[in-house]
Amino acid sequence: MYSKRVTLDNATGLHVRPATLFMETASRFGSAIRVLKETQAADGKSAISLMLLEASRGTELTIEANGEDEIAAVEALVDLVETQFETRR
Amino acid sequence: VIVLEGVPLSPGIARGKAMIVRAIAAGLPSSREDGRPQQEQFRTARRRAEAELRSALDALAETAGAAREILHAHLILLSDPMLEMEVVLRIERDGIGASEALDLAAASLSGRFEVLADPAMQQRAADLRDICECIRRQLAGCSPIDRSEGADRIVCATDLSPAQVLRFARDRPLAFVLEQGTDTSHAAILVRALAVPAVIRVSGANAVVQDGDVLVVDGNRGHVFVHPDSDVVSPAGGRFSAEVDETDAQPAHTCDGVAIAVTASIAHSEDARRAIATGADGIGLLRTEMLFLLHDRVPSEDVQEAFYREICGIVGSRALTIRLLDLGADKQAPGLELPHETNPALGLRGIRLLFTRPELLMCQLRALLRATAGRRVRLLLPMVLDATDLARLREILNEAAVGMRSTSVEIGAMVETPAAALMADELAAAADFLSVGTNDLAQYVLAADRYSAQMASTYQPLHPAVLRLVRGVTAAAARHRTPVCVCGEAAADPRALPLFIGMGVTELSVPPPAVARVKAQVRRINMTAARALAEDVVSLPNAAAVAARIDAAREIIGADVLETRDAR
Repeated sequence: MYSKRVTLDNATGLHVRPATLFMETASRFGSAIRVLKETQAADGKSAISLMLLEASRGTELTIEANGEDEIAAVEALVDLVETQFETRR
Repeated sequence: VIVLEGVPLSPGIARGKAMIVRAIAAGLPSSREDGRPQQEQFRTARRRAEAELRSALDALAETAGAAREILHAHLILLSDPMLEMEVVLRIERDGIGASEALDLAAASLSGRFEVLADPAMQQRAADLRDICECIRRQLAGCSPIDRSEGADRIVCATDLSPAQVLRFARDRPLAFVLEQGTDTSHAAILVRALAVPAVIRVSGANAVVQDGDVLVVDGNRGHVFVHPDSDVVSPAGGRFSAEVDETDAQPAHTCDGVAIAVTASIAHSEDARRAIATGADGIGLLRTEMLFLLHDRVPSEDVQEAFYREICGIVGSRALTIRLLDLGADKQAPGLELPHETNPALGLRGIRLLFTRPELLMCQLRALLRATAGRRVRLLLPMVLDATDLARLREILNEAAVGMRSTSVEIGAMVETPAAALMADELAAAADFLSVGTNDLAQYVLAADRYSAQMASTYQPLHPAVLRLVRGVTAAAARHRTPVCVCGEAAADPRALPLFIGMGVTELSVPPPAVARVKAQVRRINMTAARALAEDVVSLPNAAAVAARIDAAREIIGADVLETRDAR
């Protein structure tokens, strides 16, 4: 298992679009992915689950992955959060 | 005549018989009698709901951005693993049926969204209920095309949910009349995207209108006439008959005499009837996937033959082009057990799939040959890369034809991969005809997923890169005197079709309701002007410049008079 902590710094937190982008990125990896907020945990591949975390700007999250591509998965997701969900064209 | 007043939602005027639609959630049969495991029933229903949503998305115009976004959001929720987990958990833990488990899971999840303060999250609650309604309908065995719901009728209801509107995406009704509704709801956005006349907040509609009543709906002014006189004239002064029953069986020529065949793209026999009724010159594209999506296993040769035979009976002696099975990518079918691919749009689909499943291809070819014996038919190969695919198909076709009555079969290639467009010279030499699939070609040339909301502004079917390839195809085809058809949404787009005609395309395959409109526009097109325009646009730097160039030429390409009739 591999995990990293990251702080949400985009304006809307894990709102509809960021949660969808997170889910889409997470779904590209084979590893199981969880997102932890304090005592709550969400399935990184479920937009419903991510939105229900109600993670707003400034929230600290732990992204953890378990599987063959766990390091790449966590790094890609941390990068997504740190670039404030700005997807490249 | 009784006149009801409402608020116009979507422009246009229609006359037809009312169909009263009531809330459908209640009264659906339980699925528990079916012996299959409940989890499997849920997954099948969800897959069908997904296919239904995707075909609704396909039926929407590219310009319907807001409606497409709603459908994208629905598709994301539909395949969400948490929804699946909640349903399966209830089935396994509580021993209840799929329908009941789905209801409880939907109520629980949407309840959790509803308590959030953010209005966008409350909208997710509504979306969740909508997609669950779609799945529940599939569980109850209501397939999208068993009943041709709403086709040739005026749908009257108190209000409609987005899921209910979606039922009508394929069999477009003549109009919508709602007693309630708001013009900003998801349902309203979807209704507008269907581009049929609609009036909302019609007070008294429920009390006055009975099933089967003749109505005239004026979506421009917000009037509904109940029991109108046969020759009633609208308050706006236009005669209804000109706008209703649009049918045009006359062949279409440009104003300087170039013949253009306007055929229909269809998926089932109801479509075929509609196409012939509107005066289509034939069928330019019969998709055969629906047949596979609606059965729980791969349909037998006999089942397939009966399907093609019914279509042949409706089409009569007119031209008929049948596309071989184009499953894979976003379309999965029960019983095929297609491998999971990380990038299915670039994976095993179309003719690639058929070549790896010889029994599937042989079965379809034999069914087609049996059903079309004695008539002329054109077979279209999806996802072709080069002429090798055509040669290989011809060989297999000869094998399939052993011992059969002869059919006059022409073989054509779909030009939807960049490779096929670049190999057009060799393809045109080997094929009897070519058909440009604009939706997929644009997606592959621009490397932009046409189902992705994020790509909505990048996916531009009229990008010069796409147009240059199409022009290359028509030029190659002209050298070999091979006819070229264009299908896909751009074929019916009043702004795009003059470009194709200018490039030398001689057949446009469009949705049945667009046939008369497209013929009317073809007759206004001047070939010399269209050629000049087509030459111009391919040298422009980007899609915005193409759009501006088309705007400047609207009058000479006949797109000006038509735009007022198309709710955009």
